[in-house]
Amino acid sequence: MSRFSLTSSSPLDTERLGKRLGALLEPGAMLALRGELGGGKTCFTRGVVEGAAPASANMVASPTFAIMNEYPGLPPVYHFDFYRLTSEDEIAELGFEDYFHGNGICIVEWPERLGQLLPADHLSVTFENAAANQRTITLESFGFSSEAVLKQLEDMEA
Amino acid sequence: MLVLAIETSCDETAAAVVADGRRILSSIVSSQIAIHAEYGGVVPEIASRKHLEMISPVISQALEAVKVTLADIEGIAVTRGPGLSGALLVGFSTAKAIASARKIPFVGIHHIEGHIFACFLEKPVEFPFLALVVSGGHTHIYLVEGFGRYRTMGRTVDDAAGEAFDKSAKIMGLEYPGGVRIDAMAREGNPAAVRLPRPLMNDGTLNFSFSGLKTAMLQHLSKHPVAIPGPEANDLCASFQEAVCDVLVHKTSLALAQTGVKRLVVAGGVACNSGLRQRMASMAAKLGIELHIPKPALCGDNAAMLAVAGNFYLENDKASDSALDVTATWNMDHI
Repeated sequence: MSRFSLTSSSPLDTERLGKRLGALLEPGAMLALRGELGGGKTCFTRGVVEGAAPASANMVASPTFAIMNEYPGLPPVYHFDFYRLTSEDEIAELGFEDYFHGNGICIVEWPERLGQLLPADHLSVTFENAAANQRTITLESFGFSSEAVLKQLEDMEA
Repeated sequence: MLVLAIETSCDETAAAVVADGRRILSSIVSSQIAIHAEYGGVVPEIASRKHLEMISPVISQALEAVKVTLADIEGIAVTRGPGLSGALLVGFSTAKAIASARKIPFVGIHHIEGHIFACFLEKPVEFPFLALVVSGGHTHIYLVEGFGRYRTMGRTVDDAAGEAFDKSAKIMGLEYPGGVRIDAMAREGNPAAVRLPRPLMNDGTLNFSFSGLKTAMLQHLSKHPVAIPGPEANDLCASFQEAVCDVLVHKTSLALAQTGVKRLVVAGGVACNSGLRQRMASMAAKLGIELHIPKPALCGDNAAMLAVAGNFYLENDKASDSALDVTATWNMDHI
């Protein structure tokens, strides 16, 4: 497991970090976004889609109500929000695991609701409110592929 | 034409019988019927299994309520998207099966197209008109030039207005349903009490952003906790609702000015909000705009609303092919 933290001083900053990461992701990648409401998860996701599936970047919006938004591209990006779901069973019933090991990039908000369904190889991104507009963003890799992505990103940020 | 309408795009399993795309003969929404009570009434029916359990009883009730059978139904209107494929498939497959067995046509309808025409069940609106659709998942402005002819003029770039209401209510610690509680408390409060941002108010586009407003609520509450119930909580609700309404009214009036269109439809679950209804009414009166907002029962998700466009398509030789499938994403500009 590797870990790397940085400070974002604006929503645009957060979006740019997402874009740099998005450009590095391969089909099958899984991002687990953690942190309180208002931490910048939607901004970050817009950036990831700009980097991975640029033609769909203007489609990014919160999937809280819809549970999943799909952004077409090569690879496509699947944006999940399990805020409204309460158990692993409910998620299993919806059949979302099919997406987790498919041909797209998955971004999951509220990944703690996934329990055992969260793929072992994933990149965890945690947003913490620091000062008024500042956010501390911590990236942690779990598994071989996410480790490689994080190393590349770390080299770019250095 | 007697149309059976079926909706299973997200939280609700719903069916309705509508005559000529105008008169609702029956409209059943699963969360309103007894069988739902065992789930506590708040569990979203996003899981296909729950739609499957509900679809037959809901359709039967819609038919029985008007004492008709499937043999009397002349066409079917069903939500084809957008939504979760598994949920959509339950309604869509049911519609296709009934259509095939009864040898009647069916047509797939865009869920938002349904909301836009809900007010036609009370009074048809002349084309062209602007439609503001505000719900838990949508905050969009469309130019509507006819059935199937829509142009997206503005949309939320993050949270929908309904989501801002629900999440702000949750941040405040209000009980479910949060949006309704905020509306009720806002009536007792002072909308100028707390200064909150009006995101994207003057950015020159017709887009919306409500994520920052939620963050501002968090920051305000961390410095000034409020007791619930209490006058401060009422003031905060009133100030929040005012901020949301200010942006919705401003962008809508901008869209009216840009297009020169004189008719406005406000639709979707948030169109139930009494503050928004009042603000839209006074804006429309001031600008000389003809305003249509459906009664609250037609604002939330229901099946009857699908029968308006559905009836038009079915009567104008635009029924769907039996090979058609559901679609999770569906742009309104390309129907």
